[in-house]
Amino acid sequence: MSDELSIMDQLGVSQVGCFACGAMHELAPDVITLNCYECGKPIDLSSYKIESLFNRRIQTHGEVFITARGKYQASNLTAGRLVVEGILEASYECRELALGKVAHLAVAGKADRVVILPGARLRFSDFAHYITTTQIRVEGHLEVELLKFNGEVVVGEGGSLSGNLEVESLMVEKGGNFEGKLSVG
Amino acid sequence: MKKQAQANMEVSVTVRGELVSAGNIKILHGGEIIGVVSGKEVVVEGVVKGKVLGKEKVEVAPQGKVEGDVETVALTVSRGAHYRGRCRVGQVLEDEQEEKVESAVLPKAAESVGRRWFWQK
Repeated sequence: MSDELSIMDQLGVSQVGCFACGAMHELAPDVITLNCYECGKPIDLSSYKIESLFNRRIQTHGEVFITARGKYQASNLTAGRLVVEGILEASYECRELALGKVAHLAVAGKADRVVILPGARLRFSDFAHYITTTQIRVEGHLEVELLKFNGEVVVGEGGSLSGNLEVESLMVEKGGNFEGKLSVG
Repeated sequence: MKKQAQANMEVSVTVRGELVSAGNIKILHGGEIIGVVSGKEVVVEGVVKGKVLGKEKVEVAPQGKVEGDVETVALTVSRGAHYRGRCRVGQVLEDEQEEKVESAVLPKAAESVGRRWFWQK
């Protein structure tokens, strides 16, 4: 269970909401299970690794990892962090969506932040319609024709971004690469 | 006449031409460069119309405005800033930048307009 806690720490989460009634709960450092004080229902903090077809609904504040051979197929998915290396066929909502080598999204969803993982080589046009976010962090390779959105783009060390951007802000950290036209403001 | 600036610079006036330093360059609010600005770290709080070369880093502050191309190793364009142009950012540029800074001339064609511009250690 220490893994779940470290994910919360990584995401900077100190409060979680009840999936049933929405009541907010402070997270103590050592919490491993939680029941809502308002409605009494359990709040899932655990993590899941999906390595084959999975078609039950998941609602967790922990991590859901869909491996390259995994396929999530349900009505929706809620997670703290959602790591997709396989196929996601569900509407989703998460704090962080991390896309790996052969990530495939088939339904639209929302993420506070999107991360292109190291080793991934993705074309933005392949999943642009399926993501609503305000921050994209590139640690792998991302190719765009025109990336136009109200948010921030960060190219991390080892990351590479090519194409034209119309964004609110851009940061290319030392060790990152960007080449293209930029329009800010 | 060739001059190579080593010191850090802050610019609060209009300069036309090339502005080159081996140190850091800060274009203050009210400062404007029309031409080329090249330094170790270049921070733009004012306006640059032309090319910006940063050996280590280029930063366009929230009130800064850049219309032109940027070549550097690390780049930050803050929310609220204005930028239009092409970018080449990355580690591979480090060697190229070094050559450009060394071969540049100061104050070739530099001409201050209005208030004086000054140097700072």
